[in-house]
Amino acid sequence: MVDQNLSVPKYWRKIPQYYRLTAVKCRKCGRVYFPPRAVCECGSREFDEYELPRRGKLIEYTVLRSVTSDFEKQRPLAFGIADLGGVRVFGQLVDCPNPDKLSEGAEVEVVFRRVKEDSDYGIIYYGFKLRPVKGCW
Amino acid sequence: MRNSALGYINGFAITPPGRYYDKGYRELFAEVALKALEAAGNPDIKAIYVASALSELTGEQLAIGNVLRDYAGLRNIPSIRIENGDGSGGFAIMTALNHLASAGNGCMLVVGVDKPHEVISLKQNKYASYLLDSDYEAYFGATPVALAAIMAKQYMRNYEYKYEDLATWAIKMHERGAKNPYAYFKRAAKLKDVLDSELVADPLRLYDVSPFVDGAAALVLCSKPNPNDLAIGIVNYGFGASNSYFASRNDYTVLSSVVEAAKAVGPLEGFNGVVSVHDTYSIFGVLALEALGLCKRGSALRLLNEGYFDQGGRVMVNLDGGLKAVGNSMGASGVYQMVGVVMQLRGDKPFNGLNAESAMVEDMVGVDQESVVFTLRVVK
Amino acid sequence: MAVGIVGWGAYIPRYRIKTREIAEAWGDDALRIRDMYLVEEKAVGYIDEDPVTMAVEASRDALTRAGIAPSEVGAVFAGTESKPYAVKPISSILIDALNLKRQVYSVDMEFACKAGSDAIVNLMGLVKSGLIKYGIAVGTDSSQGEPGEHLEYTVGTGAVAYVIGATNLVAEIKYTYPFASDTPDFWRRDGSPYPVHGEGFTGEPAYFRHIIGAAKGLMEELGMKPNDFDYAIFHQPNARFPVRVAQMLGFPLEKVKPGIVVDLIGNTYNASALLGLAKVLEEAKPGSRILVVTFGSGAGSNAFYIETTDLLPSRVKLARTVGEMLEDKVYIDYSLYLKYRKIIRMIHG
Repeated sequence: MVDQNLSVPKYWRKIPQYYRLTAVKCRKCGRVYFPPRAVCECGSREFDEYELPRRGKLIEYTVLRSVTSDFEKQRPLAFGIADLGGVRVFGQLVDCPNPDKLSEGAEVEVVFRRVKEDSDYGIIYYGFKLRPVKGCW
Repeated sequence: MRNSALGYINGFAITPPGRYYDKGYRELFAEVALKALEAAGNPDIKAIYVASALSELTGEQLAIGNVLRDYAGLRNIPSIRIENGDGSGGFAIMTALNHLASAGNGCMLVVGVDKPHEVISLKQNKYASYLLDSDYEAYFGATPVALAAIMAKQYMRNYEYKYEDLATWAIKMHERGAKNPYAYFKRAAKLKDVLDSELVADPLRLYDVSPFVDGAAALVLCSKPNPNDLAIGIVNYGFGASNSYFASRNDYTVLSSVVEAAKAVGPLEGFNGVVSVHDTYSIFGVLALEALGLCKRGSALRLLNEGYFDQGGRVMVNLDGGLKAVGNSMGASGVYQMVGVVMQLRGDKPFNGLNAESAMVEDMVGVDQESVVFTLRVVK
Repeated sequence: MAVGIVGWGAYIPRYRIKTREIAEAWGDDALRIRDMYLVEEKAVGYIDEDPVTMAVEASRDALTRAGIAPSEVGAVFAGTESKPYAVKPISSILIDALNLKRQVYSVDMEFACKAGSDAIVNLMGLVKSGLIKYGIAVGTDSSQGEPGEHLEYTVGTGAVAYVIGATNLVAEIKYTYPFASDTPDFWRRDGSPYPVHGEGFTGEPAYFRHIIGAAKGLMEELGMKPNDFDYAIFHQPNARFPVRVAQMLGFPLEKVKPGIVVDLIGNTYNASALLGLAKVLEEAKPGSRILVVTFGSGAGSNAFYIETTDLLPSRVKLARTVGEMLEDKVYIDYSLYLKYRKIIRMIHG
């Protein structure tokens, strides 16, 4: 069998987070955590699932040109930090060839995209990315 | 008799960092371990702490301590591998000091060794990305320099600096490296060189990024100083940590783990002496100075440009050239930093005539994941 | 029991390449190409888009317009001919991406470009029989056009999704009529990256025979004539075929034009006619009578008679419209096109 370089279980476990931005909300104090964690700052260990909103504002971004071996063919990669309903999330910025045209606090939407794949025969990883609503032309 | 330090550095050795296609982990380890032990008078060692970030990844070796110890002919000494990313060195030293304290007496051997150049650059970047959150940052292709770039952007915007101001870090580090026979980059750099270099993660350019290097550095830490030599003691250390997920931090212009570590190590008011900051990227060097309390928030870059941190001043920073000129040997980098300030305190070539009595070393993991800050003194 | 469309969603990626740009690369006469197909430009997905990602986007919008909870969905069927995995369905990824419950019927369907509409027919059956309350039918494609071959001028990228049910319909599907036979006009062998087609053979024996067969069959059984319809939407491999088949059936051009999208985004295969329908739903008044005839090579057609309801207009603006997505575009050149479409042989994806 071909060598599998990307773990399937490691990805599959995170599908609710990668596909739907499923965060956790503390039952006691209401704090929302993304990525999810086991214990709240207030000490409680009881959480409810909570999907982050799919629209928000861009806080900051950069463009990475020196990428890793997995992303060689996808360079350059733009990354941004978005505020989605009060929760800060880090992700790739897509459909944005000219990020310098982005205004501060630009509106972004969460989209579903391919992240990477394990050569021609292995698993395809999907996940969320951030897309400036008005584009970057 | 009361020890005035947590431990004394009775022996040390480094390999000039570089690309060692002809030497592996065991050869580099043996070189520095044996030299350091000899310099310390070959004392009995209670434990060997191996600081390495990449030994499984590029050395394809688990439990590397056993292999290294065997190769160097050191017998019956427990060897513990410490991995904490590019902060492995600092944390290995911290652990060795704790062990010294619990043992009450004796010596520990701390060796940092890493070989990023067993693999090609794209792979090095992939391994560097393991310093970030694997599931939520590296998963999407982020590497530490991307987050450093975000910090640099926000810092420069908040305090109204231009990129040219930040470029000074690289220029000054290269200046220092040019005088250091142990540096990887021994050529001075001009502003034009920095500005013309390729963008790595906007706005950071190639000159803002410390180069990966293979390297090994060793320290012999003892509970009592060597009576026949200048005694350099590690007086104290402090630890700090920040949120591991970068985006959820409150302020992207401060290294909060370093702030916490500096608070923990004790009052640094009025410090004067030599400082070594972990400048994986230029911006990390700059922000570390502020986090250590050596200057006010937002002022480090201005003071750097004014020459405030140069040799001859009250606070002399990265006189060996920092990670920028010496190179980023990942797990070994913290040990190189420690050896650097020890040489500076001792006045060993090329650091003659500094007359510094105190030193501070800041070693950081990844992008402000966690940090350890050490204070050192020449102990008479 | 009245069954039909409860909500719909569409997805057209942002990038476009002009057919002129492709013609220049291959030394073809750009004006002659444009005249042959009447396709100006086609939609291209970015390097990280594929039929799965587009299916997710379209389905999310369909659920938004339907105003139902994901847990109310009992089936998800995806029709495509450009699956990223030959074995591993798009529909299973949709289950988790849309947060559907585990108790859901799911399958991918293949009948060249017709499968998206086959998904609709099948879901109608499941709804009518009471097996499910709502189902999602998806038509999604990012098919490869062989570089230097004429299909490259028209193969586009897009997806569309329909929530099918029996309550709160925005449009009732009043009748369906299939027409199929073994007619090998266009195919792609297992393991082959590009399809093969019969040029002229794809016309009369395939496209025209089956679309006319299905359309006439439906109209005869219902006793309806072209006059009885407000819109006629046909599968769009290029802009000439649907206009010609409309002519042959007796539909005037102004009833066909609103459903034509191929001139701006190319042939989106399983989305094609259904994307045309989505566009028409955005402008149609309540009580509009719509004929939709899909076509898939191999070959077969599904004809649908659809009537819009009063609930339709208020749902249009609840999500991205085809109209908006047609305007939201940026042009790329042939080299970026080859890179995004991964036609340049990549060692690593």
